[in-house]
Amino acid sequence: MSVSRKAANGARANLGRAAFYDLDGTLVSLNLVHAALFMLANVGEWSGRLSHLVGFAARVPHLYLAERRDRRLLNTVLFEAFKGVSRDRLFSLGEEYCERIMIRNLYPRAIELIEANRSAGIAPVLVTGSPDFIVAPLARHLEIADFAANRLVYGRGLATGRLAPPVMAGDEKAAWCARYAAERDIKLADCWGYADSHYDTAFLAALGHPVAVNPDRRLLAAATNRQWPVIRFEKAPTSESVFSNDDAVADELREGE
Amino acid sequence: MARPESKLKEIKVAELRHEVGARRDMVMTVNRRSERRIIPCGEEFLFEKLPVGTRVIYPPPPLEPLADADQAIRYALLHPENQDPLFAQLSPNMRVTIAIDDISLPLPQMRRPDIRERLLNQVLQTLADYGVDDVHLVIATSLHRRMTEAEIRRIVGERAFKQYWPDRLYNFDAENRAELAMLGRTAHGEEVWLSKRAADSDLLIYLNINLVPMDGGHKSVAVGLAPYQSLRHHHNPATLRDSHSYMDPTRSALHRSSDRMGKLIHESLNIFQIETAVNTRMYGGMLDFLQKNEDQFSDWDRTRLAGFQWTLRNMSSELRRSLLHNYAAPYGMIGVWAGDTETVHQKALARVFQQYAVPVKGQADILIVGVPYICPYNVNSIMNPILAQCTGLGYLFNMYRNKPLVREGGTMIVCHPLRDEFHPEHHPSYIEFFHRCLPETTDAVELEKTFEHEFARNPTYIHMYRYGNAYHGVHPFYMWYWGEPARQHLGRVIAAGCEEPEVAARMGWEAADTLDEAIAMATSELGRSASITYLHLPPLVIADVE
Repeated sequence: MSVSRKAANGARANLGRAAFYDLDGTLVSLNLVHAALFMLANVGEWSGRLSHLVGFAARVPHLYLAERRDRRLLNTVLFEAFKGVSRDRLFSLGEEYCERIMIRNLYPRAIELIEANRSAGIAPVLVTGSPDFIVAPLARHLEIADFAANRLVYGRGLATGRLAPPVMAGDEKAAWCARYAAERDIKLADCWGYADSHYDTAFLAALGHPVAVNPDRRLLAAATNRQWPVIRFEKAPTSESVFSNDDAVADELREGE
Repeated sequence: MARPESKLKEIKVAELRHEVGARRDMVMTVNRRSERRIIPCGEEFLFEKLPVGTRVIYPPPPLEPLADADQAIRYALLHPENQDPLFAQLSPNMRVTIAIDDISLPLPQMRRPDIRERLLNQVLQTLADYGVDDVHLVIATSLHRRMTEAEIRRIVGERAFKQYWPDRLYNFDAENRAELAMLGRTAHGEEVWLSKRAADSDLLIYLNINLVPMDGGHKSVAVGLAPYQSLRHHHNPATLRDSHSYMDPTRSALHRSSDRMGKLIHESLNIFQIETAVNTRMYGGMLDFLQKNEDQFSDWDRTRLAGFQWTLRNMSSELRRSLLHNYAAPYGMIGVWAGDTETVHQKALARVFQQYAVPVKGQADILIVGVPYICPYNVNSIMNPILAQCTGLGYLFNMYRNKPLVREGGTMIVCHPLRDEFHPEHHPSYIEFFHRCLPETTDAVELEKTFEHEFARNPTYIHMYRYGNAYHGVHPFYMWYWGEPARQHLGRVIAAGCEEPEVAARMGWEAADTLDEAIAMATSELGRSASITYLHLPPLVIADVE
């Protein structure tokens, strides 16, 4: 298990059912490359930044080919760019990136959906290929107790550029969900999954209630073929939230029964 | 150019050719020399030989449309039933809400200008003339899917769209708690909820289209602008089992319940109801042969039918669906009335029955119906198996007054391919309903008890209903309940032309590859002397069964 722990503020909800959320493109309108660029552009003195960015630029063709072939390979290649960066610096930049960039780019209706699911007793869990130093502060912000994210291997406090297994991508996400559910006596058939990429097809297929969120072309085709619901989140909401009133509605419904 | 008020006269439909007594010829019996019959079957039209002796019930020909629809609307607004004219009820600074029937009717969609556009243009002009600025236009979707921008533009017209979209022209949202108001409970304990905007308005104007007698009346407001909390009181197996039929409001528990709610709403709201009726001219031009008696087909009609069948067969399913759903019907308006809801609805109902009713003698052992490519809940979408069930057992079975067309314990043959195919953005909860709930039970009461509340309050389905274009999570249950009277009444249901027998089996139906096979299956039990009736579509017909 890459990461499985309680966030500082997160109280573990009723875990009879869980909803597993992918992060990039699903809850937030950013991707992993954006996060990597932010990190490398702020990693230290200007000379260090330049060196990292040039190194990153040199990896772009490799990244492109990796993305076309396999998401796991993309993650592996991408995280090599962090080689030599200190763990403390990465975690401090992760906090900054989350606070300054990521939270502002969360889909408002994605947050509504997480809260509505939580109110209905479906506990949220993040399952993402993003690094733990970004996901941890976001999980705290969203009060999500458990998450699975990629972890870098560190030696003497510096990133080695390698990922600790298992690498969170493709089938591994499904395997992680299965282990997570088994440990908590949850049936995967009762769980929900939300993701945006065709690389997540195996992850979604493992869950009883898969939902394609802002799906790419290939996931949309898979969703249509497999009859999965499709949700589209937009950046700006056009009407106010009502999920805060869901309890009131539920109370009224109970009264009427 | 509108005529001066003093010159306005009520325009009457030419009625002479449509006396009900003269409609005996709408029922014919198949003999050896009879032509084959057109039978809708999903996105295709079959042309099948029916057994000798089969009774075929044809819809009456379309009534003559009103000569000048705009003038008729103007007349109705100036001479309403049991209310002051619309202009006399207006004053500046008042709050007005106009509720509009959604895309679920008429079917297929009508050619532009849509009747709702004609109504809106005149109503909005009257409001503007009298200085009423606080006007909202609400599409009365209830738990139906949100209409898209293009769909709304099409039904309300450019003028209203440009002026009101999107801030003052929008879909009703039955899950926006802040925009719902509870008005009270009926004597039967039914909670009456309504759009808050409508409830807080000084005047609520409802623009309705009556495609069938089930539509309109108190049901317009009490259902169209109401959330799940209200609908669950009449959209349930017990109420629907007590409805004989949905097309006969006097014998429908569904209508009795919505009438009770409507009356309660009327106690606190000032409602100006505008109801319209359309004729049965569903197909015109190159497709007008679809409405003809096949025995009167010319060679040109047969050629067109063969060409139409060939075209549909050889298209991809997406293209075929797009072609069929983009077809716009040349409906003609045969009546418009405004004012007090009950008076208006009685007049509209009389005209609708005048259009649809055909006297029929006695029930049959076997009823054959063809489920077409469209129903109220799959406009621009897929007719999934639950909707095919709803159309066959819910709508077509209920096309009667007095007694069902098929005897109790009889067999209904439903022509539809029944593919396991759903629209993931329009019908997401249908998918779960079909794959998770139906394998456990097909009993409507059990489904209601076990699953309904979970689906109705499911956050993902609520989200997709509110922000996507999905039907509400509870909607597939209502579609299943809709077939409940038929399930209680019938002995067997056989799906003819069924491509996926496991789909039929899951719904408790039997499957047959062809109509001939289905008829053979039905008659094998009932004997060769079993009486067979085919309810001919399109367009629509309501049988007054003696």
